[in-house]
Amino acid sequence: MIRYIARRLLMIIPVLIGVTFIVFSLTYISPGDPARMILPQDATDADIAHMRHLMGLDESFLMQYVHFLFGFKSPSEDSSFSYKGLLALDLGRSYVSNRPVFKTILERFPNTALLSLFALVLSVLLSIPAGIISATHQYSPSDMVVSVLSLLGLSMPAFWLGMILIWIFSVKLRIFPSLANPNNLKSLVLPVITLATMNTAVQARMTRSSMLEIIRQDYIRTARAKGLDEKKVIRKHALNNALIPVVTVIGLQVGQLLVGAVLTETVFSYPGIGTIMVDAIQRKDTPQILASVVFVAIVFALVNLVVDIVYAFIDPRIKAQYEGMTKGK
Amino acid sequence: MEQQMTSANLPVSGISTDRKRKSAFQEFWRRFRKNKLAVAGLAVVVLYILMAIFADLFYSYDFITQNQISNAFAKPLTRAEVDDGNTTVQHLYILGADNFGRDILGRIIHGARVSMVIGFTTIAFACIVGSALGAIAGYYGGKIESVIMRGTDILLAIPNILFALAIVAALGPSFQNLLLAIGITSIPAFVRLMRASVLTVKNQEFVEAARALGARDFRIIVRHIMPNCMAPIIVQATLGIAQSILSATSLSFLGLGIQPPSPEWGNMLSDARSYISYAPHTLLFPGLAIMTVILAYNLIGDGLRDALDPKLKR
Repeated sequence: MIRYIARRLLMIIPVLIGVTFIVFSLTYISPGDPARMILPQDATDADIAHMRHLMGLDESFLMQYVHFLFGFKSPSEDSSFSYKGLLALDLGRSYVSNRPVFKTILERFPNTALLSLFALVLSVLLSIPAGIISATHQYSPSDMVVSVLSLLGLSMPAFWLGMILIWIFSVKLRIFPSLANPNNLKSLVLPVITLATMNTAVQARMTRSSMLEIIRQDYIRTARAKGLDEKKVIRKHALNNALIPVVTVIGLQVGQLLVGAVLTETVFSYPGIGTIMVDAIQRKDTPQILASVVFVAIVFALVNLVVDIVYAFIDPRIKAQYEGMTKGK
Repeated sequence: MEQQMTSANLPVSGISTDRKRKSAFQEFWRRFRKNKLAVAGLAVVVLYILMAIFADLFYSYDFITQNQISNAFAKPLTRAEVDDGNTTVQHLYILGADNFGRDILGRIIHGARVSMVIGFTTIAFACIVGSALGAIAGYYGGKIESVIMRGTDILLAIPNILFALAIVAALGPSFQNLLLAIGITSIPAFVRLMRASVLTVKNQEFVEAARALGARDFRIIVRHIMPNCMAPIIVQATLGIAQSILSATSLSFLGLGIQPPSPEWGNMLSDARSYISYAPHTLLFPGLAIMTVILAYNLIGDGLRDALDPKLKR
């Protein structure tokens, strides 16, 4: 088990390097010169060249990437051009607000995490029972309802669903506010539903198909044949095995939640990392965009790491693979 | 193989393989047709494709991009005068008008063109590049495989829309960059699927036979291995188109995709957002358009999966 976890931890290193490299390269090739953006319109070419030097933009691509990771000490007196690098969670200041970019991100990230967490809990609570009922009562009316709803949920753009919910519940019925903020639980209802819908649909479909596959296995027939009652067969024998792929999907969905949050937050003007990103992109605030994208990507990678480790505890096959020591590779 | 047989003057076996291929398709079609929902999905997609091709016959592009401020927010099924260049004509707004008085149905129909083009081109690109990389990785193994697969892992480690968002943010919002962003983010799924299927096929006897006959690697991969790996790729391509259209509308909604005044479902919704309480019809119809087309592709994808994969036969 420890070997598996260690291996999984090691595997994340190249992934993180790759992710940071890609995001950095994207900013590097992006047209538009950050030095020109900070300077006034009438700056001369010499001013711009000087500013590029102060910002470290005149160095080679690889050097700039090293700065990006490990920090950059500007030759300028003005310390705002220096930063300690991604490893120290410091990528300089926003061009717009002049605040350290990670300060804004770390302030707002808990809001996104809260929204995503609620959505995750809601989707798990709804989807797994729905999927199980759907599979154990295949072709019944309740199976049809679950199947149709999950297909609709899968096909609905989250941002559209959010706006429709606003129209129904904020404009027409006046039950929930249309703007959300983390201090008002009531205002979170609509964004949480919006965010949870897609995941609920995906997970319900996954639970259903995985359960359907399992209940046709021989050992389930054996369990039934020996006279166990149906509830026990499902709960004790089928469920554990059926849930293994579902856990993976839920893990992948956590990442999707973080991304879905970008759209949901925009619709409900919710102060999370999604709105930071969209604002930053609209204002061409490069350090803020870079930091937010890298941050979300890293959180996503870490979440997947945790899921994989949890997975090892649930799935005895992984345990066996590493404890049996018979694996060739 | 088939070609060699015909060249060796064996017309009988030539015909029999031909008939066999036909009946394989018929068998597939027979199974696909049984799934009524999938057939309905196919019908909807065909309808959207026709709409996209013949968009100009219904509404001229100039008309649906031109502001008719006096008719702003016209309700569905209202008749109003529109300025047609130099004369004013009566026009029926079937689904109403948006905040600039532009015909919503017309914009949805022209928007179908944008979405269909995005869906097909991005997935065609991702499918070709991804399948090629996956086939190479699976067939050759070793160092090439680890390089390709680690690259794929890294691409997969960045959530889809986030990556597309980063590409568009870096390169600026434009149609080409949107295609590029969505195309690239769609590649990894194809690489993984193709590699996995190639691994199961490459050691089978007919591949060894081809190799024994002296066929070159390229020919073996393209003629003998790939055709046997197409089922999951076709399913993924169908679902991928749905995903791609959804991503494109999402990015446009955020103002990072197709720029106004071009009609696109996502940016129509982005305009509608400011008028939810005032003109809900501007919100409703573009969203329904997106939903039906995504639903249709998902239904086709499910149907294809059932029809192509004998293991999952009901």
